[in-house]
Amino acid sequence: MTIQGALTIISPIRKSQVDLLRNVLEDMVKHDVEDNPAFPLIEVKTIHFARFVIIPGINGKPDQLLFSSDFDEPLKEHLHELVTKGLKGLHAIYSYCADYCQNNEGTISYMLQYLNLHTVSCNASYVGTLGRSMDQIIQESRLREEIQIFLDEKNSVDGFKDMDALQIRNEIKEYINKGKKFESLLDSENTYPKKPFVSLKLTMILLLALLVLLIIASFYLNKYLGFVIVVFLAIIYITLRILEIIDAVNIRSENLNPDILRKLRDREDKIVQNQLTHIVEIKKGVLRIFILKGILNIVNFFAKYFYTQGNLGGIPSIHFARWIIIDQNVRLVFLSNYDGSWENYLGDFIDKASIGLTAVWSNTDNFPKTHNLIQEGAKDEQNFKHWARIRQIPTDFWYSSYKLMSVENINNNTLIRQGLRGEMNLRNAQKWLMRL
Amino acid sequence: MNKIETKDIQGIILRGYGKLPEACYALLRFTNSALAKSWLNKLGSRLTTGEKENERKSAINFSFTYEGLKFIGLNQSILDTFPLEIQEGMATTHRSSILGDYNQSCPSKWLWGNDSNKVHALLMIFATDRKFLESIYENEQSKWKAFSVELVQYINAPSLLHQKEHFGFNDGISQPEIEELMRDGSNKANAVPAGEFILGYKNAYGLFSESPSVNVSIMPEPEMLSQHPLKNQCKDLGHNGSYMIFRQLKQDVKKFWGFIEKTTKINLQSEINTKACVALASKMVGRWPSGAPLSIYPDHDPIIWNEKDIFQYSDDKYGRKCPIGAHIRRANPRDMKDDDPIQALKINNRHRILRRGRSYGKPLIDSMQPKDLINATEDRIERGLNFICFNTNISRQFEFIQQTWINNFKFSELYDESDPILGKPDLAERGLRRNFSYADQPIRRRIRDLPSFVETRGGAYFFTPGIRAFKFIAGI
Repeated sequence: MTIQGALTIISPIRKSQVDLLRNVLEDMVKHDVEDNPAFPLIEVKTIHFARFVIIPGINGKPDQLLFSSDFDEPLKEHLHELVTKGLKGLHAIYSYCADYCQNNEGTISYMLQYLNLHTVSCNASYVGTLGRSMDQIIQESRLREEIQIFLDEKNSVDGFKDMDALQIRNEIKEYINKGKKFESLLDSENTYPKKPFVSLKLTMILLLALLVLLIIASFYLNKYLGFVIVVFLAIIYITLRILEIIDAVNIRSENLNPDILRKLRDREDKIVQNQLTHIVEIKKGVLRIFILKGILNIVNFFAKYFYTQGNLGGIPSIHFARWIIIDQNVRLVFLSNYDGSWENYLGDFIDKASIGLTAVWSNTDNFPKTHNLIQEGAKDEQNFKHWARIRQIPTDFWYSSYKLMSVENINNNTLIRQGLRGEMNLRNAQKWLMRL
Repeated sequence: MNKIETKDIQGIILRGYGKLPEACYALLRFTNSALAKSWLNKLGSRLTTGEKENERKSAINFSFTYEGLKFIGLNQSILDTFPLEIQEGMATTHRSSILGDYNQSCPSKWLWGNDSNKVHALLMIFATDRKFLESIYENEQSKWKAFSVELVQYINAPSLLHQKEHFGFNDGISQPEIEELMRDGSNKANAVPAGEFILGYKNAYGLFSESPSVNVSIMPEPEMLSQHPLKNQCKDLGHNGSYMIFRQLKQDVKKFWGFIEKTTKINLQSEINTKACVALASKMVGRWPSGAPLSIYPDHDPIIWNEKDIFQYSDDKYGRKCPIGAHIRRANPRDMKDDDPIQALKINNRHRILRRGRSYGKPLIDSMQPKDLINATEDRIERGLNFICFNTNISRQFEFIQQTWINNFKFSELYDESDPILGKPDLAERGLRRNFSYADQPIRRRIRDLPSFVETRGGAYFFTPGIRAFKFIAGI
């Protein structure tokens, strides 16, 4: 089964050359994001999504260039493919970066070395289409369309009259097998991710119970140890509450820059998918970064082991998302590739995932007033959206390998493909036909 | 609970004037701000409020666009506090993609509301009969010349038989109800807090929607206005007002039924199968011509339907009764967008609008019966719907419905469909066709490449102030 990885590369840009770099990226987008001769991403088989973003510097530090890709492991092969096929474009881009040696004429080995050097790891990541390679996603979509056309044609002359679901399934199987176009795809194992063994709720309860047990056990072990742990937790909680009360929040005092808003919107709602690049300063102090890192670890754990079937805490529209703490614990970057409108995405955040979201971002600058780390916060609907928009930055270059497909489409396609394998009873065949 | 000040709210927000079947709309432009204000000053006392009135024979209501408020000299510091949607208006590139205004619906082709034919205000008149309506309109119109008010567009909205829209279906059935004004025995699933439709009250999040404000330090204390709920030192100009959306949507009745007829024909020679035509069109709408929902009557039209509009989609997950992509399922998905129906309904009701539109133009055929509509000959007369609705957060309510439900090709696990009645056209140049599919036995049916049956002819976002706020605007 394919494993998808999240690659992030961040490099400082030469001070006076930011606009030049922006122009290079703009030219590539204008020419053709997919198929420009310098950086022909459409030829890269290991890539799902990719982007370049220029991140404005803070505290007098230079602007940075962020590259991200959602790719099929192993990383080494992905990087190698990316560099061999897009060397010219990468060279043109990274020539504006401060520590890139321009005299190098862009050799493959230097580029690999450079990119490896600037690779940073994510604090948390999520995949909505777990276990499927880019190629599989595209093949499965073709398979579905092939079946649909077959059904349309046969249906138009009432060709399925009086057939039951099993017979129709057999007809479809026969037709597809005869075509021989999808042999290797159909031979491949089932890859639709399984549901977790235990539910998320139960796990949470177990984890909490475990924590309580540990505290009790520590009292038995040594009453001072138990006491110290309880006091320590109490101090953390009280400090957090004090911080939450005194943290000045004045969201409406910050105005949206109309030029940036226009830029953001111009790049949104093209057809099906959208991108979001969000960057925010983390609140000062040890406690905030400590909590944030802890929460991101939990998010990462849940995302990997519980939200396996394309639904992140009730949100069905995220292809890939990641959280990265950058600048030595100063800022938090959030990148995501999602389906549908910004308004819907943010609305889902508020309506379905406000707890997790507030737990993460209440540790960052000027987030709406929060209680106990997870309460209120994002529930302050219009203020939260305003806050999120102000910290969103335009994604200068964005690429998707399958821009017409939603997460739900991709997952359904896999289930259609798997339904062609093996034997089925009538009930399951009826259910399977509803996917078409 | 905050009492709803019906006396200060314009009537059209609270009621559809069902007993006033005749209506007309005058889209206006001011050319002299001082004169305009003196006209508005007098108009203020003629506006119909939301109070209950049994013997009402007519009604007049009024809305401003941002351009209009600006033209008559509302202070820029106040104008800046309007939501972005109102400030920018409907005819922007970004909104066109949200609303699906492409091709023939492109703002540059509009009759009104675009840059070449700006609108400042809208006067709406309703009356019991046509003659009376005309006399009220003439009385209003006679004053405009003296006050330098120009008529941009006049839209006549005569009543159609049995509340039908031009395609022949009963319309305007599903409406949210304002929770605070609900009568006993109403459908609780439809209850939505007043603040979703009227500014100054709590919305579905228990918060106050963005409302324009008047800073008391800039303006002489505007005593008549209430305190702003979110800003100290500010008066609330939005209080008891609402944001109004107006879209003039042309319906091509012949094209609609012609397409259905062609699709249902087994071969070119076969005769028109009226029953199959009505069945397919009803699947596209999600209701039968009588208004009866397919969710309750999946197989036949009861012909006379006056039951309550209470049903769910959670028991019809695969669209066996009502197709997933049907118009009414997209316009209001009720409880289907989450595994937990109660939670789904709660979230759904954060995206509701109060619809107050009416059809315009002469019907293709007076009976409005599908069989007659199918057989009628093209008459080249323009007809359609004046889509009008009210809400307090345009991007979360009206635009959300358009973008995430109506025009979304991926709505609810679908692949390549937009609303079969009024969704955006295919994006063939980008590889997306516009199909329509529905569950059938033994296998689903799919209709490929739906043309557009509805075209946008004009549109604008308006602010419909409360009565006191109207007087404040007219008086400054």
